[in-house]
Amino acid sequence: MNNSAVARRRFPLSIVVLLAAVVILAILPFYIRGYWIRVLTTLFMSAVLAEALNLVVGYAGYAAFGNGVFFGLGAYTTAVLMTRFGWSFFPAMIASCFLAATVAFLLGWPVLRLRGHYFAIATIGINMAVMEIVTYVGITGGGKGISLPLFPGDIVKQGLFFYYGMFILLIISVAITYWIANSRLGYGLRAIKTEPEAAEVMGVNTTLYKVLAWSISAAITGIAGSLNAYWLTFLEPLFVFDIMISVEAFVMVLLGGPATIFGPVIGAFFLKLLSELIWSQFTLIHMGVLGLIIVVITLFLPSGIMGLWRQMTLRWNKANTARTSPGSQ
Amino acid sequence: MALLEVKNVSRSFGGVQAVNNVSFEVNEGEIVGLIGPNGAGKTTMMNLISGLIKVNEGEIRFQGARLTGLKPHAIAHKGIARTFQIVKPFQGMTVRENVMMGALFRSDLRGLKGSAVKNIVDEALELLELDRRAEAPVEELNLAQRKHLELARAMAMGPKLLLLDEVMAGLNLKEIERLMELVRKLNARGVTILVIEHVMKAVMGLSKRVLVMHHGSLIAQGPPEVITQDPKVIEAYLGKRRHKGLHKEAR
Ligand SMILES: Nc1ncnc2c1ncn2[C@@H]1O[C@H](COP(=O)(O)OP(=O)(O)OP(=O)(O)O)[C@@H](O)[C@H]1O
Ligand SMILES: [Mg+2]
Repeated sequence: MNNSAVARRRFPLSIVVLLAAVVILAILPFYIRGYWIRVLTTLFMSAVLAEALNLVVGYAGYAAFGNGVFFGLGAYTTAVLMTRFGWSFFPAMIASCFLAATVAFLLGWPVLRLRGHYFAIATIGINMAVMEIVTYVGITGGGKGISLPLFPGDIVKQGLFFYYGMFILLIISVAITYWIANSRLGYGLRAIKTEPEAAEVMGVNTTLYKVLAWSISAAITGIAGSLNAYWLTFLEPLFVFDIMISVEAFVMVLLGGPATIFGPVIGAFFLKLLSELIWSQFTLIHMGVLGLIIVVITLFLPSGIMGLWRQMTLRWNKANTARTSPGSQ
Repeated sequence: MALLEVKNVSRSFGGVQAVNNVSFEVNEGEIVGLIGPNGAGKTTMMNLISGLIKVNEGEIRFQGARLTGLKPHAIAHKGIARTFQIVKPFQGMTVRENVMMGALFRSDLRGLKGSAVKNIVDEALELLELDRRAEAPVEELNLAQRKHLELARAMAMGPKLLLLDEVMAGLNLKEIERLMELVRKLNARGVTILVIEHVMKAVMGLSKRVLVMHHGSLIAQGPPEVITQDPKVIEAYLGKRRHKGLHKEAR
């Protein structure tokens, strides 16, 4: 009885906190300066990348170290379509999403058969190969980069457009994760992660499920890349295919809690705000601190901040029931 | 027509002929035992039926239709469930969620509502006496409970044929007796069972027909009383490993 009372009290609370966070972030741009709007936009983008990566890394258990390739693909698809073919942004964004998803779908069949480290290395290889192709193909502007049309409207409107664009994308990716986590796909992925053979003989089409997860992840990542390209207005292969984009998203997933719905978002906020508040003065040791965080998580926080939180609430509940149980049970 | 037909099936790993030209049938409603010394090819035979490993030669039919060449999930959808010699619970899920995995991916339940799934899961949990542990994380189960979980998951799939790979191994006498009772109960519900077992008492008690494998070949089949008197079988068990007799593990 005590337990269900706790559960009943906590369930609405988390919804209230969530709604409050959404409302605050939705009206925040009217109260803060352009600099912080840009910081939050970047933060949303990181959270989107982490949330998308979580589907493959957290749920399916596949270390997609080169997932940033879809970010670069989305960015370049939008750039080429807008600059060379005169498309407007939204159609270009949809095309970027489809292209990223299609590439993941086609590559997924052979690549997702690889186990563990081999898959991780293969995705890094794909990232590098695509970067090389983009660098040597004429239509992308090659190594010199490519400029996109400017966003029509003043700098304030521009700031708000990308703020809300990334914010909505983040909400959508969280919603997709929520839906997957509670669907057959989510259960199948979690089963594949620990016992792929048992999952397969219980009727899970494991290859298809992994490919679907990767394609959805790629679609979200591709849209983020597309928005980012339009925001930056200038792309270079070395920048959008930077392996650090994937590594950072990876750290956020591990830090926040893999295979949880909000873990990657929390990880992204934590890491980005920390880096913004403290490390902006120490750009040189930024990588060092990132490395240190990776080591600390793997050693002490195997299931991230969300795991720590769950442990604490569990202990708190136990202590609570122990205190009240003699009378109530 | 038999429910399961295995015809001249062979499979090798490198130089090891794990299954060598094996043929047998399993009829609907039977409990058939599959025995043999360590490394005889029993698990490999089970892997071939469930599709985890491809056959080199021969074919396997289920209800008259070819299984050879199908993916394991497609074979599962035809009504074949199995357990693993080394139990494979899905970590990070509760006992109930583990059993739900069996019900969620049934081909005959596509589009059915959550309540149908829940009923199947509840029934399987109760059948395997796991209902009181339903909400526990699977990591908290002991070995006997994990073996029950393997069976509950398989039963939630609504199988016609159930393949059991050494479900009794590592259990004590009391647990073995309880599990034997449960296996009979599953069979009484119309599930045909092929059971690999080292615990002789269990095989003898469960099956009216026993298949014996040795070095990848099927060397004998028949009623348990006859099989245990067969010189070839005694030779297979006692020939090289005198220390591991026919009655090993029947503690
Ligand atoms: N995946 C594999 N790769 C290579 N060799 C294998 C593989 N699976 C089985 N074998 C070999 O095939 C032979 C038969 O093994 P199998 O596991 O089928 O025996 P078993 O009858 O189940 O034995 P046990 O009673 O010890 O479980 C053994 O020599 C084993 O080493
Ligand atoms: Mg075996």
